[in-house]
Amino acid sequence: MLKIHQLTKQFASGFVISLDIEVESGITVLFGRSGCGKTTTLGMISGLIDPDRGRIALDDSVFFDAGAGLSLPSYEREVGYIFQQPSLFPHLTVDANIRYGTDHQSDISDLVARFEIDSLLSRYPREISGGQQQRVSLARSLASNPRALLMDEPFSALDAGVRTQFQSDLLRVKEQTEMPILVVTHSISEAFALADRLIVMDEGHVVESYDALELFARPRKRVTAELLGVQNLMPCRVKSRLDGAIIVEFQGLDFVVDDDARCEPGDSAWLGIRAVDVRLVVTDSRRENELVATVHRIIRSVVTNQIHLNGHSPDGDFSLVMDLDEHHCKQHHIKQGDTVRVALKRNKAFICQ
Amino acid sequence: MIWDALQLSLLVSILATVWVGIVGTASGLLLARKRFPGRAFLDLLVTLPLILPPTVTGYYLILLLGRKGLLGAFIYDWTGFSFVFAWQGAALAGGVVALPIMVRAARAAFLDVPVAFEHASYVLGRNRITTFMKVTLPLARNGLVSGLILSFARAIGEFGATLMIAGNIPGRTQTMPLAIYEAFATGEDALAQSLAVILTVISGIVILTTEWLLRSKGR
Repeated sequence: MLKIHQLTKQFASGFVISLDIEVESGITVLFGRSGCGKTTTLGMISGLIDPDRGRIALDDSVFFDAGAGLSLPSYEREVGYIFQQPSLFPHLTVDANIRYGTDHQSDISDLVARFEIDSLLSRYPREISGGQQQRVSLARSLASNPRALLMDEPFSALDAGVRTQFQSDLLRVKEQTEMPILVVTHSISEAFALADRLIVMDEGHVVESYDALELFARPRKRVTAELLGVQNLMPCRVKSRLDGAIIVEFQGLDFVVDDDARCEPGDSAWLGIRAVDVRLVVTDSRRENELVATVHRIIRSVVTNQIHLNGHSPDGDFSLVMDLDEHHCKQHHIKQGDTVRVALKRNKAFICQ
Repeated sequence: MIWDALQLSLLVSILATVWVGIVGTASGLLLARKRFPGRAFLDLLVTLPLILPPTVTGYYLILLLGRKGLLGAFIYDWTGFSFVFAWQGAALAGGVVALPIMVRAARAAFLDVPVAFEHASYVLGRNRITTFMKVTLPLARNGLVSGLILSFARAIGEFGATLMIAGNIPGRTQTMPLAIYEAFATGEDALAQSLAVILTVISGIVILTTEWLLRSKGR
């Protein structure tokens, strides 16, 4: 396990990174906007950047301990690092690149076969594609038998198709190893595709870290929900708690949410729901968690259309986003200016602070 | 006389290129990669010979390394050796005037090597020395070789500083440029002409050969 304890780094600009993280085996995704300190965090773990204070340890070996004045150089940390750009040595063949971190007799045939790069061994990096370069870079890292693997936006330089392929390569690596893998990304879909555990960072701090699926489904903090792409976040007041459900008031209406978030009646909170979990109501009878709103704008896209809704109530105006595919839009003659009834799925909505 | 001067010129220039290659590469690396106190002074020091007339450079070399010079006195007391009126002095002078060229070439060559490659080497478990030898140096090679060629060319053509420190002793410190000047000054036009042609041809061959080697090995 990779343990980062009270690690601090202050920049001349005044920006401060301050972290407490534990990375277990499996894939942990370090997620956040560009410039929130993710890459610097990897730099500090790998020893390429010196922290100011704190402690970093992998299992029983200490990489950095400000108190003890200890900082192990990068080349003694045995931590693999995949950079955003593949960074293959341009003057060496693919074969020599893979062998670079090994004693040169070692057998790389397994790795080469696993990543299907047998045919590339005698070529130079500039003679192979970006996707192949990134695979070679992963193979090169694994060849040196690292005890942990850090990856900095490893997919960002790749085309969509190659990206999926490389993601499946990485998932296969995960299945075959016990080492902690820490992947930095600012892409929600990458984080969702890869993460066992998710660490959400903002402004140099960890906002929330938890089991990835759980965190995607029910972020506990508003900023996490925003970063993870939850389109609808509405201020609400907690009215009461039932067994496994919370009743909140929003715009003078009561909403039932299946959630066990920590909150008490009277608390101010945020009612969150993804656009995909907002439903169009077409029956005559009133539904649970129903709202009436006006179609303000329809934004079309390949998979689904985004319906932007505006509503009025005695408590003020609100807006809401609903996903609705083209077929249903046509079937129900949804157009700008229409008044529609929508319902929030109680098992998908969540309460956050 | 022709043979002596040619032999000496080649010896002096090769030796000058070797030491300036080492010192210039080290200084270039330092200036390209490190921030340290005295950096601006080092930069100035290795650039000065480019701006000063070679005679002034030679004069400073005498002040520093002459028999009564700041360092020269110590060297003479300890070893009985002096750069003054010695062929080693010519190699020293040739190198000093070539130093700015080598440092500039090396610095540009190292700046062109992305730090990411060095980082990639560190995280693959290779220490600083191995990283320098296996990654930085090969990637900076073309720039360094250009620097070495230009340094050799500058050293083999050096006149003023060589004359100041090593003098013009036929068979001992008289290099090709000095021999050409002397032949011309004493009216031996034919000799001056032959020497000039030989120096031109040799220089041409050296440069073409190195560039050919560079192209055939460089990928």
